[in-house]
Amino acid sequence: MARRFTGRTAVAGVGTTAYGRLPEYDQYDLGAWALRNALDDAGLALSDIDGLIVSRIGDYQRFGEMLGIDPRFVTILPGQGRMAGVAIEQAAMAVASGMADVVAVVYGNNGRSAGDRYGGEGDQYGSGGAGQWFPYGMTSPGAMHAMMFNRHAHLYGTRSEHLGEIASTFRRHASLNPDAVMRTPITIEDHQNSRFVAEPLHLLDYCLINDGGVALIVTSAERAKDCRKKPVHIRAFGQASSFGSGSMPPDDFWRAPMQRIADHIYADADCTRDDLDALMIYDNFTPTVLFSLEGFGFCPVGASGPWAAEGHLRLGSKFPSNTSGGHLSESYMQGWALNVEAVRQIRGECGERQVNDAGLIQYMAASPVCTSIIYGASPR
Amino acid sequence: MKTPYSKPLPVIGERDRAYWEGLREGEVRLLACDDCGHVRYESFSTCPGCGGGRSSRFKASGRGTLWSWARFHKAYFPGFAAEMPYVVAVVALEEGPKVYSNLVETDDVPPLGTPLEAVFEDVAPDVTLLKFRPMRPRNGTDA
Ligand SMILES: [Zn+2]
Repeated sequence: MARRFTGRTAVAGVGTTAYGRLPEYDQYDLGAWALRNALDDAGLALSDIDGLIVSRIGDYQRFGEMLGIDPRFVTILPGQGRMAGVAIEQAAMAVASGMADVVAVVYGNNGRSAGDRYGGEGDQYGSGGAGQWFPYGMTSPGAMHAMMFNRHAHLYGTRSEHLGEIASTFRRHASLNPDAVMRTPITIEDHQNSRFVAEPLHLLDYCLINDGGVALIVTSAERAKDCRKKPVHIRAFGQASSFGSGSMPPDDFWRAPMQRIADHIYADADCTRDDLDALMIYDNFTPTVLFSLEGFGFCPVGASGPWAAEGHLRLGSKFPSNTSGGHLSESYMQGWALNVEAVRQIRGECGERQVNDAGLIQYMAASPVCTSIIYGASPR
Repeated sequence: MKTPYSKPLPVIGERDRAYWEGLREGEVRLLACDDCGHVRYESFSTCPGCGGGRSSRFKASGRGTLWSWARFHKAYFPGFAAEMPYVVAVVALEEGPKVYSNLVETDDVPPLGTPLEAVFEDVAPDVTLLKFRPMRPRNGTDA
């Protein structure tokens, strides 16, 4: 079904803000800053935008007012990381359907300066289902992922050191990225020695919390050819949800919805996993990376820990992953910046962390709403 | 002197009042769909098994197994600070649903899969929490 969209749309521009602590900017400011950079990147103007999708920016109307634009297609998505893929996919759908020609997809996050805590009384994880468990001390997405990892370890023998490989690999990548917040290399031993937050997860299994903004400009493959930079084509995408486990960890680590996407996305993109030059894996917590590798079939079910520990995710290996450093080390841009990294890699703009001849890159996110996008240097 | 209870208390609404009353009386009362029998913990009006709108509370066994756990080293709730680090368990109830809970009457966290049974802990005049302890061998017919 998604196949009819194959290769018809492209990312014409990407923009990011500085990352870190930016108390003088709110979500709207950060989104607008990123959008200015994305438009400049594409060689387009605000007046070219006729579609707008915002996420984690409080209100679409106020954002439109601030930008002085009146797009015909407008929507807003919740400020959850799982919505990054959804937003880009909706932009591609709007363009492919003729609803809009140039869609700005914009995200602004001032969580660091606003003091967001992701645990405790304000915890909304599980879409509001979390509060009923506070009497037992249960809170935070990190704890739920810790429980999932504990379960995975019980079933398959996965070890914390395997998570350490992921954390240290992404940090090494971040050390090559001048925009990354955390650039000092770490070892697996450093990971093991970092304090527990929700045991068995250590501090270095957790994503950062920082301020920043991200924007992408999605347009038709045709129109993208006339933009300033080389188009990066949206070769294929997919989405699948799994809501049955509610606020509880799922039995299958979201494998079923990821498999539903994997069943068609490689065929849609006319490629195999082996053709991929890099992976961008949603890394709110290190175990999510393992679940994603299994869900999308990069390794057998249960084998992701030892497989990752073989070093396949490192720059220079078979599937260099999160070459920017990801959420763990570059910036907590909730999937958004990983999509930007995919675009920059395919354009060859990544300097020291550049993957040679990066022509095909897959973004994937494991959560109650799973998404994946395959970007390509060519439309098919 | 007993120190006042300072952990978060549940916000008890009309829909789940019967659940909390059950705990008060030493019973785990889950919802079963009148149409398809699907059992749920959440007090939704609609059955996730069949979409039906009629369901009834029934007395569940109070037994389950340890599905997973995490040990909290961060004090998200001031009321838990005194017993840091503390463990939150995921218990898979015999009837299917999972619940978050705490383990009692055990010093160590037992291995995943360990059979557990309900312990009803009164924490406030109208609040009883559902906790679990490792299943004990019983006398009589259950032995
Ligand atoms: Zn039913």
